[in-house]
Amino acid sequence: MVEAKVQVLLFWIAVGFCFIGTLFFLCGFIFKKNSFIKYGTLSSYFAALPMLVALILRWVETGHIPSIGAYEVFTIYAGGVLIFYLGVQVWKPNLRITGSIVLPIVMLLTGIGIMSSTELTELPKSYFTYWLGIHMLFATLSLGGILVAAGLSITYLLKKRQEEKGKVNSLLVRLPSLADMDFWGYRFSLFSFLMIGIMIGSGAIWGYKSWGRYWGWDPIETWSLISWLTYGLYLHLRITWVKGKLAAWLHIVVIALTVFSFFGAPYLYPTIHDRFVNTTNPY
Amino acid sequence: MGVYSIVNHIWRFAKSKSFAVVLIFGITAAIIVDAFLLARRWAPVQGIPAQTGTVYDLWWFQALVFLLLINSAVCISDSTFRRIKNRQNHVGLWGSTIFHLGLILIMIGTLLTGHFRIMSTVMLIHGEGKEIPYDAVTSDNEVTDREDDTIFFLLQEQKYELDDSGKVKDVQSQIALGQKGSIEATYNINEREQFSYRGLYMFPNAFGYAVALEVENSRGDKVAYVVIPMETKEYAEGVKSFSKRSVRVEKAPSYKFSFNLYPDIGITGNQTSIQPTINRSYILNNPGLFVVVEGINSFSKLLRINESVDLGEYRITFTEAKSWTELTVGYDPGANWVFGGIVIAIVGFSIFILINVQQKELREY
Repeated sequence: MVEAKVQVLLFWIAVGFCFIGTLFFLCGFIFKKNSFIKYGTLSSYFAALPMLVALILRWVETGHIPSIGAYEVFTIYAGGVLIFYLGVQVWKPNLRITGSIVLPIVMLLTGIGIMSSTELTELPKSYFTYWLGIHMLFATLSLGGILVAAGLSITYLLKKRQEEKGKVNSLLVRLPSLADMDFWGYRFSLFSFLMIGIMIGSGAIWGYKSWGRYWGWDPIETWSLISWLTYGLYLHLRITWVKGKLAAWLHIVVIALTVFSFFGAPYLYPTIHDRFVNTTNPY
Repeated sequence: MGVYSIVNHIWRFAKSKSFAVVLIFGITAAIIVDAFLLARRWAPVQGIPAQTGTVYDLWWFQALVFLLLINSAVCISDSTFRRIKNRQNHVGLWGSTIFHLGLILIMIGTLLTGHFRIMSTVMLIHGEGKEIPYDAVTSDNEVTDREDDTIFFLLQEQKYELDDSGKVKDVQSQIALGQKGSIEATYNINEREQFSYRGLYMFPNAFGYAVALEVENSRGDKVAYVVIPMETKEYAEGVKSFSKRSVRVEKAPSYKFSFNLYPDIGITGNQTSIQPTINRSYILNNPGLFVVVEGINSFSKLLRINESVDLGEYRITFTEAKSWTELTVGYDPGANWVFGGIVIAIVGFSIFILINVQQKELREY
């Protein structure tokens, strides 16, 4: 119980830094200063540290990768997405502006997680498999890719709008060109498409090993497939007809649908994936 | 318009990305509509989730999947041919081809699964061999013309592993498989641990105990020997009970029986007033069978091995308690296609992403 309290405290510290970081990003947009964006990114480093420690503590406490119940699921997603963002901005410093979307969402996810029950539950045998870890890893990576892509699409639309008006503010002007942002948005959509695909594939193998079927039309499976197909549709449209602003809007719609399949669908249906949000589910 | 021209038009349409977009849109839209209808019909069963399906079983949905399969196949054949002809060796574009090849395999696999997948269960009682026609577990046909092609199942042993508090931690079954009574392979497997035999996928999904009863008539002749598997109920993780309610026993049809089996019955109170009501362990050691006889004169009695209930015209003796394991047996000829397709698709798409393909090249692709 003490450990759970320590974890929650660490997560709160992370939420605090995410909040500060979000404020910096917001100030960056308001005052059009790049230094705020840098401070925002710095805050995300400070948020990542307690987040990681808390997740490791939970992992040690439960004996499995945190993935059962809203507390574990939301916090592992938050931690994974934050680390993914940090990796992206180290790799491409020009893309650190995407933190303005990533950081508030990480804050929100962590907040929802720590408001949920931290109680430990006994798991069915089918959950004690490394496929659970693989499944969660790729789910987290896909979410990271989606959120960074969302940041890029939104920033693209903002910059495009200002360019059309003929007046781009000093912050946006420092960002990569529209063509580059469009390209990177597309690259991240490819990445997310692959990650969702591996997530579905690893879930299929896990399902086959546990229940003798690789696909059961479970509602969450179905929504994951919808997300993946929609991404496929979007990618086909991008290489054929849709470009620029329309592509960015379409990407945002696809991202919204995917985020719904992650966080909305488990609350709509009784499903085998309820374990991920509701530890008392018997299935 | 000549035949060549018509064929050329069909070919161009079949390989077009526009056709792919229309098909993916159609499939996605159908699944979205079905997902919203799903909430009404969803009823998962404990342990094994129900496989639901409305739109997925419809011919037009499967036709859309089939057309997408054709579209992908034609598209990659055409682009591969053109690339070889024009000596374009961009590795990233080959990645896209490999990815689509993986998708084709996945689609073939899902269509095969949809049409030929069979899931069945086989109840194995300790020491009692079962000979089942191979066709009976791989097809819907009740009648088989290959009666001699059988699978022999035998539960040789069942071991319970308990934790420090006596709860069931794991159950291991030793299952022998073969043909025509002869054993070809033996598997020691835990709950939900899968193994394969002759293209069948199997895993133990349930465990428990069965009781063997002997029925004698009023003259003392043995008229029946029945083995009744008890239902295993799990009240909490590792806390189980073994019972069966309202059962009719062969040759003694005028009564209904309810049974509770205690694998290792204990004694409470002092030795003079024996009240054996405690189950000391889940491991079969000193079994006790609590029988409730439902009839004109209902009564109950606790039986040890070789003890009987006398019903006037019948006498029922509890002769033995045996373990049972229920195997889920799956036949899915599409599964390997799907898994192979997943691996190929992932490899292909990874190549596609890692080798930077510009959009201009993609449009020309």
